[in-house]
Amino acid sequence: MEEGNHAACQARRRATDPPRFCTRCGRKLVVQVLPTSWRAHCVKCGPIG
Amino acid sequence: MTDDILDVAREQVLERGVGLSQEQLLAVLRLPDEGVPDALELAHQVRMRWCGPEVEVEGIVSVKTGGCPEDCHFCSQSGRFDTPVRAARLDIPSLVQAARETAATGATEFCLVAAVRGPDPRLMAQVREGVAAIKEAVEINVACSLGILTRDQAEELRDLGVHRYNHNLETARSHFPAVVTTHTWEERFETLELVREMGMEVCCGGIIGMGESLEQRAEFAAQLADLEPDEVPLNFLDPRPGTPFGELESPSAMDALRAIAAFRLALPRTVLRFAGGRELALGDLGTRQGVLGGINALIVGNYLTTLGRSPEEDLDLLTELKMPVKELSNTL
Repeated sequence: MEEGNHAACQARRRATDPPRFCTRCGRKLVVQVLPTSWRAHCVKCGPIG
Repeated sequence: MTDDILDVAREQVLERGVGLSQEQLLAVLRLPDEGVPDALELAHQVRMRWCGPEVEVEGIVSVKTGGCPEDCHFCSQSGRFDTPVRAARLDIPSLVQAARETAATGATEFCLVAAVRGPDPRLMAQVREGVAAIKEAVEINVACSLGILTRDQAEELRDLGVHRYNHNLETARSHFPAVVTTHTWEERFETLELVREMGMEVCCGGIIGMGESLEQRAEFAAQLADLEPDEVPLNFLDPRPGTPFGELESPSAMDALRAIAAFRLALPRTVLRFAGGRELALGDLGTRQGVLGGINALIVGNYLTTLGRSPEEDLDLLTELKMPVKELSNTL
């Protein structure tokens, strides 16, 4: 990761993006965004959130 | 120059309802920052005169996410780019529930979107079942965005009761090869002609800020005006990690507002819809300025793979601005 303050990038992504990676195993999550919610699951670790 | 083009637009667009030409649109896009408020005010007057105060509200949902074979450079759903998006399909009960929740916000449009070049038999079967289930359960107009269509597919969607079909031209014809290489602008245009021939409403827009010049932005607005779409969704680039456009900057708020005013002055009678990227390019203040600057439709809630403002925030804004939400009977 490059040096620098990434707080702004992370804040921006938190506002516009659901989780993308499983925090337990690092796999890409299967994410379904819906008009008023979202859901995500890891194929190994199960549902997220 | 500011006074000249806006004076021309006041007579031509506001009074006579004739959209600006490509050259005139370029003059709007070149307005200095201090000219933008007047342009937005005029665009708002044009909207009120030729469209009225109602705002059309829509929800969208991805019925098939990721794994797209195309290489649209802005899109995180392309299977050709290393993005975090994984393939997913939406089951019918969840689709109906999403339609129900969208209708509960007051929205009159619900669009089923798929990340495909065009529908294969599996997707057509999913859409066939999904549209029927929604129509059985929810009072809402159903739209689709499923890529390039064959004649048979367009006919079937119309017969299913699909009210409007979206297929964005995305950008100016001259800039398109820099955005997509796996299909052509002309192929997209052919689908739009089919949609019109079949009697569905035509929804066609694009994305501002994909490296196009101002001349190309004006070209795009003029090309859309020639098409005479029923709806134009206006997106602002959200640079997605892993895509070829992931390192571009999203357009500045001023550029986004100039584009909104220009597109309204190009298309006085169309439904001009705030679509993706407005949260990033414009924020809350810019959203308000856009709704007071030519926009008369919104996507509420979330988008296909990213999150949007809450529907309540947008609906509160419309209430504050005394802009009624278009009701279902008024869309027929």
